[in-house]
Amino acid sequence: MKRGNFRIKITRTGYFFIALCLGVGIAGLNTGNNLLYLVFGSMLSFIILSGLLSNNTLTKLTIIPFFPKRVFAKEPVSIHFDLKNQKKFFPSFALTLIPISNGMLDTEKTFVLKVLPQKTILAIGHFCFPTRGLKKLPSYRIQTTYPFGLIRKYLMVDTTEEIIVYPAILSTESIFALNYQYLGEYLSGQKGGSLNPYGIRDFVFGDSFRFVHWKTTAKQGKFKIKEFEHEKRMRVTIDVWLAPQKISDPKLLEKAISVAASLLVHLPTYGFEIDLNLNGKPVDVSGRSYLDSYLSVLALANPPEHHQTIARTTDDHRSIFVVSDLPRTALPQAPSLVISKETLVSIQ
Amino acid sequence: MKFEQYFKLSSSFLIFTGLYSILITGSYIGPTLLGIIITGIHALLWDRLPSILPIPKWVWNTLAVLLFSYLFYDSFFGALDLVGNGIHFVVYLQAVKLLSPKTNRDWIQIYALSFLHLLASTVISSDITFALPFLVYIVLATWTLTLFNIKIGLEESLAPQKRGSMIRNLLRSKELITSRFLAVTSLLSILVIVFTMIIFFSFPRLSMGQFLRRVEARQKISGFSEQVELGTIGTIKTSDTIAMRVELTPEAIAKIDIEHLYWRGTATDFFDGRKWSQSEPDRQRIRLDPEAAILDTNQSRFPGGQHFEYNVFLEALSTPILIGADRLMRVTWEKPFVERIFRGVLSLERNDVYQSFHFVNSQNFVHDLTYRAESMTGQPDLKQLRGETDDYPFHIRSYYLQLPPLEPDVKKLLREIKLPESSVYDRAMAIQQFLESNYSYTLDVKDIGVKDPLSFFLVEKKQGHCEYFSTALVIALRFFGIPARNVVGFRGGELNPYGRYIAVRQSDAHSWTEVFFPRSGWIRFDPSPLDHTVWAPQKRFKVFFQLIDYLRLRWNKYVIEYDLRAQASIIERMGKHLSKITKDKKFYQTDEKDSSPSSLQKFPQFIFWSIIVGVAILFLILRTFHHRQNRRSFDGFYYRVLKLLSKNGYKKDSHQTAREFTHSIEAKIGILPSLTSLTSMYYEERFGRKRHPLPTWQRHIFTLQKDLSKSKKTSPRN
Repeated sequence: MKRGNFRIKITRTGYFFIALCLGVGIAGLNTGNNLLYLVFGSMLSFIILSGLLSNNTLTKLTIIPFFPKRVFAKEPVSIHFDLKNQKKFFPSFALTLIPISNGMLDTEKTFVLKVLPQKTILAIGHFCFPTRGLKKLPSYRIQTTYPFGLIRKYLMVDTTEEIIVYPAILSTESIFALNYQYLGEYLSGQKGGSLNPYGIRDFVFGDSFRFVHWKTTAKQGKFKIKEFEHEKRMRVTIDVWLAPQKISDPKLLEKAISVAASLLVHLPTYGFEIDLNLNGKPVDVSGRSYLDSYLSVLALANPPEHHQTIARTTDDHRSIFVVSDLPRTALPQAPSLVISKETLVSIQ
Repeated sequence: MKFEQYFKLSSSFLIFTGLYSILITGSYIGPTLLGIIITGIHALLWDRLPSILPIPKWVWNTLAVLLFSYLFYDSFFGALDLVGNGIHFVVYLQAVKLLSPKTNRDWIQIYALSFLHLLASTVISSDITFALPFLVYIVLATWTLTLFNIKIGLEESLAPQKRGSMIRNLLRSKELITSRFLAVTSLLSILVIVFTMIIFFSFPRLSMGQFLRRVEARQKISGFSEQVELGTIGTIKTSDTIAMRVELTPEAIAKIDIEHLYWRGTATDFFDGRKWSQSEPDRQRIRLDPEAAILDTNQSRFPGGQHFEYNVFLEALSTPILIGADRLMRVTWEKPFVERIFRGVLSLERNDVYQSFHFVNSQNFVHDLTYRAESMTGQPDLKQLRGETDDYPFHIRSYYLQLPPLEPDVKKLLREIKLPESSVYDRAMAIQQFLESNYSYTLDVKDIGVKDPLSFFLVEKKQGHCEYFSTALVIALRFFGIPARNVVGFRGGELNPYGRYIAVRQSDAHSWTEVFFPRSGWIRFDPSPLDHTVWAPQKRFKVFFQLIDYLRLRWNKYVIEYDLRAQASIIERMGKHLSKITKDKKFYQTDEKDSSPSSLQKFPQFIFWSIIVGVAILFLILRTFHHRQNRRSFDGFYYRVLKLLSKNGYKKDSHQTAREFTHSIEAKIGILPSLTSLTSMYYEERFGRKRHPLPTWQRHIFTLQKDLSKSKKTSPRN
């Protein structure tokens, strides 16, 4: 991360204090009252020490943020900061970390009371990406008003790292609400998987905590999930058809993508294996976990330039979920669950 | 201890200290005590107080308006005490704030109001008693502001909906304030005090003072005016308040008999049987030379007299008179005093008839006075005095032989005194000895309601204090045709070993006699025995009181009286020390002629402004250097690229990566190889830890500049 220079801003209290200090100084000069000089000297000392100590607080302070692997739009992200004070003797007090996105200050501030010399502490901040896509990680402002709240000194910590923000995930209730009868009947007989262990992998969002492998989790310090052999796993294809650019409604587009992503996340909990097609083309899973691949594609999906010919993408009678921001009449008929423009409109 | 408790304690004590600083001056006791009581109640009940005492805001506001109106009227048309009324109003405002529910903004206002209390105390009094609350206030302010700042930081970091309960939990935490935090904050308080002292002593003093501070007379010594009523000095002698301090050199202290040192104020000649007054009270205004600031008293010198110099620090008296030891020969003043004379705030008048000098305050302001004096002690030799005749000038006989109506008993008593025929001096001494032998000293005269106090003393009681002795001697001398007058002042004093000065108290107030001799002038006679009883009760704490008084003197000298001359003198002394080290005496050596204030005045100002300018230049250099350091790093170069592009109308959004930004420009004006190269170099250095030499950066930036100007020229106009 790139550190900028220190910047200073005088707080409102600081302005008032400086004005009072000047008033006392002028009164002292005017009257020759040495006690006023004494008071003036003390006020000036407060101002000088404010500047010196706030400078010292931010000096030799490094900040390294750690973001989670998966970040979803409209979902608060916990960002872990390693704050290291490289000073030999002086602690840093009263630090506030403020994320900045699109030049605006976010309201979620993280306050750190102290970082002792030669120590590192972990601070947790929160941020929320409003939309999906390839995003630059937020810059941060580390500021302090230590010790007296007269001067706000801050440091901009900029970043050039990028992250793919996955689409917003709807709750299972919202998904069920789209077509309760079909989804309910479809999913009720499909639950459960084999009990034969297959392997252990990292925990990802949506996994059930029932299958946590606690021994490995304790060893590695992060959640690990038991995978079981597939006994009678159903394969499901999700066909996502996006309206062309000319007629695309951005809100409906986002809802469609969110629904598709939500299905990608929730369906595996019921034991389904998923395939994803986007605008008629299957999405390639390339080396990463399939979920990340699919979610990345959906995160970066844009409406096609031209109208697409919509047809069934599979002939093997596999169950298909069709998600689209096109009207129902433009989409293939049953047997498939179709979430079309008309259904999307009802989603809040 | 919990954070909340620290915060409560420091805030409450801060408020209390502000009020205490006024209370300790002895003025406006009522409102400050009320303020302290409310602060105490608030400290005990804290947040519960507004619910226990739920007074609506409109009630407070109405009371505030009424009180303000009354105080405003009183300040300008009534008692005219603007400061006092201001204090009343500030105490009221603070009480309202404490008794009402508070936000952070209210706390800031409460602290500001307590600061106003401290400011008010600087106007009311300049005594050393200000020092302790001031120091305590600095320490508490450091603590309070630091804790308050942390409290605000904690609150702001929490989402609004979570603030209530989480804040309460945080404030009750014991882990927020650790021993390290305590140590750092304590060190911070010490630093503030150190910086305050540095600024105080180095900040230049300018002789601007348009409005002088108002100090009410703290002592009412009425015995030193043109009228002295019998019994007045006796009353004054019951107080041990210090009237003046006299600094002497160790040599002077060694050769002078302090117990028998007389500090002369003024004389009176007319006695009506009860009161002494001056027949010729008219005075002439003294014109002082602003450069010399010297007053010569034109007193006659005599061989064998002891000459010595001393500094007088006179406390604020209700009737300020210039007081000097024995025969005052010369007085020299510091320039600020002379300036006061020239501004018309103070004037100096002399009465040569009684050899007295009076400070007259035209605007009813009374100040502490400091001056340097030269005096001569001792008497002309006996041979000369015994050789004196009774050939008195007319005006001496007119004024100094006046007698009031005397009781027959008094006359009878006086006639019984056996006087030698040898000389006038011996006759005067005989009368003095008569009084010394037959009368004893007491402060408890009990002459209230007595018709003739002199007769009461001489015939009935045969006991009295110095006024009675002196009056009796004057009347007796005049009865026998010897001109004499009554003098008031001080006798003796107490040597303070810490400061090498004599502390002269009100209990040292004294009255004695001056007898006129044609050649020798006015010679002192004192029939009163010495009295050591007044200071006795405090002998147990003598050392403590002496130390406190020494500190008070130092406080007056180095804080209250600290001025441009003192600064110049410090600089001069520093310069002399430096010259000893560098052996370069030329610059610092001052001639006798050059030691006038005007040549030294400019020096500290020059040093001060040199320091300011030097610091400013250093700051600019460091800032530029820091910028240049930054510019040499790849971040710095990329920053220059962005600036260059921005100047040409291509501004990078904060959410764009470097590559995205480059693509967006290329989409508009086509590919710029220099920009592509710079972006790649940036990424390579940023992520790939590859270093590109400085000339490479500079070359590409230069090329980019050319490319951008080219593309500007070739781009089609809309």
